[in-house]
Amino acid sequence: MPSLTSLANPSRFMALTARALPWLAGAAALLFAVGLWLAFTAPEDYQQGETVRIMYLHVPSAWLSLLIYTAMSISAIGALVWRHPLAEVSMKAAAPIGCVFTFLCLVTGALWGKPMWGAWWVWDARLTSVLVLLLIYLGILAIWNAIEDQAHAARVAALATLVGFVNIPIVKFSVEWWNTLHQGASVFTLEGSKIAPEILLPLLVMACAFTCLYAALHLAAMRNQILRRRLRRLAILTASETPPRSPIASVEEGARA
Amino acid sequence: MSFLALPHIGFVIAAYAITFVAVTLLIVGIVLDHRALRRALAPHESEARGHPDLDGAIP
Repeated sequence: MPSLTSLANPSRFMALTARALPWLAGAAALLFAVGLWLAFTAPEDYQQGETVRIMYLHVPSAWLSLLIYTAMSISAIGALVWRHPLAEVSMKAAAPIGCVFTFLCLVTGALWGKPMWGAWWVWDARLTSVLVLLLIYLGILAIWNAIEDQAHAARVAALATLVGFVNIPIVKFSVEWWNTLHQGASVFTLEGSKIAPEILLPLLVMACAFTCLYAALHLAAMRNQILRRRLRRLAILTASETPPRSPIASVEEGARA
Repeated sequence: MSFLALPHIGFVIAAYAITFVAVTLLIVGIVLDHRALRRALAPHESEARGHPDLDGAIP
């Protein structure tokens, strides 16, 4: 059984993920096929009608937006405390994926809100805090792109990620702390699920499909980041191998020009 | 009643279409990035093989 430290080694990570990725992608494809079939054969909701089918996309996207940010925050701790290169790679790879799922959460929510609430958007605590989450994701992406020195960018992004984590409990508990139009927790509660099993099953299958997809995308994006670092390092090393030009040769060339 | 005549079905179709497009773009972006990196790495890696300093650069 490999130890956690050996798994965190980039070479071992590349070898392990090369084997794990096809399985994860296959599991995601299979779960999506089953989930979509269940989503479109499930009965319509007595109040929401057909729009309940939007929930099979909206709820998993919302869960992922929080899950990915939490994963980014754990990676940020790894990057700041242990300066582990894989933690930096994980943090950087997760940001665009989290951003896309948060965007999807907001868009699918708006598409559900218009027929159900009569408005695309309301400045409700849950919606507003998720919008803030999207802005935080965009800010972190901007940090990665704005700072050229990647080690410095990693430290700044890690700090920003940890500061932004304050928003995660606000998103989660906003429906309890404030009077919101958005409904409270209904899938997992202390009294059990408040959702009918016919609707709960496709929702959970779709949530598993989204989670498998995210895991596959995160690993693939992390592999890309490792390759990018490898390319940068190899380019620097091969450039340093090139013999330096003598100052006399440069002067002669200058004179000829 | 046909599927397209169901109430609010346009919102449902739009939600699934936008999700499909966004997820597909994400997957295609990552796959294309991977291919471009592999192509860019190929000449460096053939040089690096057997070279003690450059071999160390391959994680």
